[in-house]
Amino acid sequence: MVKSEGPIGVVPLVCHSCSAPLHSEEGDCIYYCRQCGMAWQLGREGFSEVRILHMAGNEPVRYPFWLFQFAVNTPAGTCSTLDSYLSLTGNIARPEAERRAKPPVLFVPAFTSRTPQQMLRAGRLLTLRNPAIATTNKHPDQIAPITLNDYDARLFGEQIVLSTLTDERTLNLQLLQGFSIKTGNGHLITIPFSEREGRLFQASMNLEI
Amino acid sequence: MTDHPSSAISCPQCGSPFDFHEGSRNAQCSSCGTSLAITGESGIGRFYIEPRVDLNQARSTIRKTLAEKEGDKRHISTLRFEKGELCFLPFWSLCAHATGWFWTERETVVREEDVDANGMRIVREVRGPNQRNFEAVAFEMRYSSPACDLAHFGLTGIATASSVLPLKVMNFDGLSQRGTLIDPVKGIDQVRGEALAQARNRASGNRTLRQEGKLNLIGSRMALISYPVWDLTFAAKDRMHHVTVDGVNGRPLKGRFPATYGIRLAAPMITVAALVFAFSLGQIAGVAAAAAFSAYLWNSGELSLPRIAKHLFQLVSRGKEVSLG
Repeated sequence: MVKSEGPIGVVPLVCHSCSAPLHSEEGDCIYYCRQCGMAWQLGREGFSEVRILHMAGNEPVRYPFWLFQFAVNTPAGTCSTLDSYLSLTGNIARPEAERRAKPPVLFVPAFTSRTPQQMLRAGRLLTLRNPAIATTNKHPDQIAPITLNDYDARLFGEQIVLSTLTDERTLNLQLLQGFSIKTGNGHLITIPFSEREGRLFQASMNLEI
Repeated sequence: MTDHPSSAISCPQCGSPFDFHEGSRNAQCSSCGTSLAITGESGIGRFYIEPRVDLNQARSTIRKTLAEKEGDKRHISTLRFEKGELCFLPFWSLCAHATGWFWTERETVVREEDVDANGMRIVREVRGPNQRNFEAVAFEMRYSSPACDLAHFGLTGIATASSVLPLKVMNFDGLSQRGTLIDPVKGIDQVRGEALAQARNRASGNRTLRQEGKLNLIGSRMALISYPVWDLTFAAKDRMHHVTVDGVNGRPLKGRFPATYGIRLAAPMITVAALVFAFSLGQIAGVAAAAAFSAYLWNSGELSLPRIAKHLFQLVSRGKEVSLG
């Protein structure tokens, strides 16, 4: 149990798995252990583990994203499969047959970028593409600070999904007012990017943010 | 939030004091290098801003303000201060990302061209079809709000001050001995609601007929900051006056200053003398002088018996009180 004595409390950041000191920056809300690769969140009840995976890739900078399976509720019905979600967004790309009936995956940036709009764009592009991600067991030495916890990520996620819909749908006020998403359990994934002139590039996804 | 480090608290590993910023979740001990998470009661840190103006400086500020304003300058040197109390006023500080959407319906104007009977081209603007717009928004916001009713003190926000002045970690015992520590009344949810309302107001534009929207605050970091204000009372003539002074920059915030008083003998005496002299010349001259006097009163506002009596018999004139805030 974390208790603050008086107006400010101070808790040493140590990995609860390997006892290594955890590196932190000013805005971090989830702490990644560079030694054992585990991630920890500090709440009122103390430290709790957060599941974190790493996408395979050689780009130098790793940015964390929250991943949630989700279903979209609209006044017209519920879209709980990737196929129906992509139809809702007006995306003409057809997913592979084995993924069509699976729930879509929401990508929410867990880092703070230069502008909130860049975070929105990153989440929108990845959620629209819903890429299948190959992970690696190698623990990266360094990842960008994780500044968004899963509660905030779910709030932000609703907006990301909404921003993926077609203009015709978002101009429909009735749809907007009845719009919501239901998310499953989330976990973190780090995606490697290369940085050029303030923009992020992911070669295997052909993605520029 | 602020670029200035707040005052030090001790590292639990090595006991050395270390600095951190208001709104920071984490810090690093400069002595042993341990990474530390900063927590507050319910995740909220409490800070205060150190006063830079003492009681005498606050009082001299009042005298200076009185001298500059249209107050009663003769009483400045004889002002008698009754009491002075340093108050620490609580303000909420919130830093977050506002994200959500706005749907707006706006009226549009279209230009129609026509040709009249004389062959002249006429351009007129008429109302066009309503335009609907959806906007996904995400922006950073900083919000500061009094944590209780502070209308009495005349201070409404400290957003700028809290971002440029060094903050110190709250010391309840120390501050209680120096002045009055005012407790916050407003809760976290109310402040978040106010911040969201302010964020919603950003989207309103011209010609908006209807607006709907949904906003959330994500990654919000909140702090309670106590700001110093001097609460002074002084006696001038037979009246007590109350004034508040900013405890950091010495600016008078709210108060009422004594009005000016003056003896006016010239106007009644000149009027009476002129009328008497005119009547002594003759009836026509007297009536003309009386008519001229009436016309003067009429032009200056009102011609009535009380107005005439006031002009002739009110020998003391009183200016307006000077109010601040």
